[in-house]
Amino acid sequence: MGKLLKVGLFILFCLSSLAGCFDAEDIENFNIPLIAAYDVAENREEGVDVTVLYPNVAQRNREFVEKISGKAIGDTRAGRGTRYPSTLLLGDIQVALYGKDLACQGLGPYIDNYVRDPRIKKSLFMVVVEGRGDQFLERAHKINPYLGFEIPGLFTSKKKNQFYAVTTLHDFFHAVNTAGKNPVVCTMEVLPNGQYRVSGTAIFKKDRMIDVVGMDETIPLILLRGEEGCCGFIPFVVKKDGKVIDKGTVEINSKRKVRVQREGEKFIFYIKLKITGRLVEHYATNRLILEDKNCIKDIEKALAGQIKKEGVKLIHRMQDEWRVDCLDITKYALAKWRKEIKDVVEEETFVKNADIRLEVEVDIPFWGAKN
Amino acid sequence: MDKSRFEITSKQLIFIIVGSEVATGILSLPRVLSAEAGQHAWIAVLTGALVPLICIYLIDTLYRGFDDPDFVRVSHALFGKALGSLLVITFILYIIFFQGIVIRIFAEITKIFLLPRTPLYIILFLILLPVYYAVSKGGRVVGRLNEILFWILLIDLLVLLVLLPLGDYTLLLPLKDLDYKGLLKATRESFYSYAGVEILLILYVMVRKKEEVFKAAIVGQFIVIFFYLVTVVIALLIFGFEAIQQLTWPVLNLLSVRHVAVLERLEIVFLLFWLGVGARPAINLSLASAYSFCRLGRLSLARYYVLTSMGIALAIYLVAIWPRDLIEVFQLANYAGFLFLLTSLGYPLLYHIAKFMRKGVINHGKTA
Repeated sequence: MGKLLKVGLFILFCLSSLAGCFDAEDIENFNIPLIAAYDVAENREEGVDVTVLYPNVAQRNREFVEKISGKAIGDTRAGRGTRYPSTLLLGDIQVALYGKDLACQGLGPYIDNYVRDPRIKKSLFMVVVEGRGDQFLERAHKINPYLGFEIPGLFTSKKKNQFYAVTTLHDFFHAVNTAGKNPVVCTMEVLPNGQYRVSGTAIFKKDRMIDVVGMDETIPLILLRGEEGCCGFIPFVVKKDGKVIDKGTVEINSKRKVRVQREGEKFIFYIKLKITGRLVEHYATNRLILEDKNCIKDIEKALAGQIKKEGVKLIHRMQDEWRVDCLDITKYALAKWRKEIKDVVEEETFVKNADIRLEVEVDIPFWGAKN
Repeated sequence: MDKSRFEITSKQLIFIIVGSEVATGILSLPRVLSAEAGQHAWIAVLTGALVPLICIYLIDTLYRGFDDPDFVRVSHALFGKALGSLLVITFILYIIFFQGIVIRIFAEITKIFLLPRTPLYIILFLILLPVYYAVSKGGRVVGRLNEILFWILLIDLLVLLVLLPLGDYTLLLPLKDLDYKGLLKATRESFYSYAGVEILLILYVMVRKKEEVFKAAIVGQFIVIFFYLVTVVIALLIFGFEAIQQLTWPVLNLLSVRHVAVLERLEIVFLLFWLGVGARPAINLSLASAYSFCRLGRLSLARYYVLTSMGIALAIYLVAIWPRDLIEVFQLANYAGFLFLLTSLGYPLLYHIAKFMRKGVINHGKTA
């Protein structure tokens, strides 16, 4: 009987713990930001504007944003405390948006609070906004009532959709603090009608943004960076004697292999992209795949040529304009000669003088149910 | 208290060895080691492990000659009553100091990650209360507790393994270019994490089958090495030796880099389990010191053991509350690491020398 009582009390204790930390009333007293935007302060000489998007909670019928200015991010929390009675809970923040101007200044100081605060998860996504982050949030949330869930969703599901950079706070922090690494961050824009979209990729030299590329260059960039498990749709055009004989779309995923050789002070990087795909559509419907053996081969060849051309263009741009390793290949040289080259990998000449060779192999083994 | 309540099985000894070593040290180990040895930090885990392994060997060979391998009795037999007692008291003081540091670091982690608004002295009190309770129940209960907590520790290790696919192997390379000086320094830094094995000096007598002690202790030690190796390698694969320097508790940061469906925050899951695991060394070593204190003063275990364990817990509390901030705590942890080297190798060696010199004088059957 005594044992039964003890077990009963234990179960009662467990059940009472299952209720969790907050009840319905508690939740109403909290503000739980889902997205925060950071910009160079508009109305003060130095400082930062923080705009926060809160989810739909019981007392409000839609998401809402609030904007506070301060000398630093922590200071805006103090400012918030004098205006709003509710408690701020940072544990569920999903996305940090950074205005372009702030990104150009360097994001190091503006991620410090995130890394320092154990309540904030290091898997939160970082985004650079074309223009200002506050304007993005204010405009976009007006026509998107669930923005706080939709934008994070873009990054958690991106591997199934399209090639664009997905950078978490950890990725950014790791790249900034590791020799030879530089982060790339997804950029987003809001259209005048309030619709938002991924617009390209921000190229960083350590924590400072140095350029932005559009979606056309983002695809080869992500492929060349070798982001594991990415897949997306790529259109192709097959030409013969200058004439278009077929076009369509292939859904691909890619694997990257990098090999590095050294000839004195010169480093030769061999990047090999192995792309496998599924034919989504092709317009030359008169070419039956099972009968015309060259049909798939032509598509593979065309796609390989197309990706290589875009990749080589990007490599040249990286070496001539940016002069930072945004392809994440320096790590392979460091893995071989870390002690000797650790001090020179951050120099512009390292990337500029490197010989980067690209090889693309495309294999389309699946073409669906139609011949 | 019945003396049989201080009997443990050799299987429980395995868990006690693991429980006495794996605690707060593992959470900062990747940072501490890689600060000195860079990408070779994992090698320091192996070189550092030589000390506890030698310690186990020395203790086992020391006690093999004695029919009643009780630490206090052996100390008296080899060094006489005065010097022997002094050595035992010094050992107890070392345990109190070391566990004070361990408990303080544990409380700091709890404050930073779980209870940021709770005063430190309250957290320390809340940690030491169950420690005292477990110790007061005697060796058998502590043995069983270690067994349960071991499996919980295993869950924590599995949680860490979830991160393996995120790792970048180039961060461990190259394997050549080993900086021997750095490796030596890193090995020294690892001592804090290996402290706890010296508990065997006291627990040896409690193990039912003495012939199994060596094997059990070695198995326990290899489990510890495995835990440390896995943790350091995963931390290096995820952060690399450079970025890791920016993080005070890299293992806890490690767990927040990946979003996991349903569980959401892996580090909270890890910490939930860790709350039991983190206080284990204090439980084990407090048991050892309270037991030795009673034996030294020839106090009846039935009447004075509980009171002694309360006194030990109080002393640990005072040491834990003493450092001003985390910087001071880490400095003291560094000293504690040196003290571990002195006690884990120094004590058994000293006892071996005394044993060698007094060969023939001591009747092993009647050591007291």
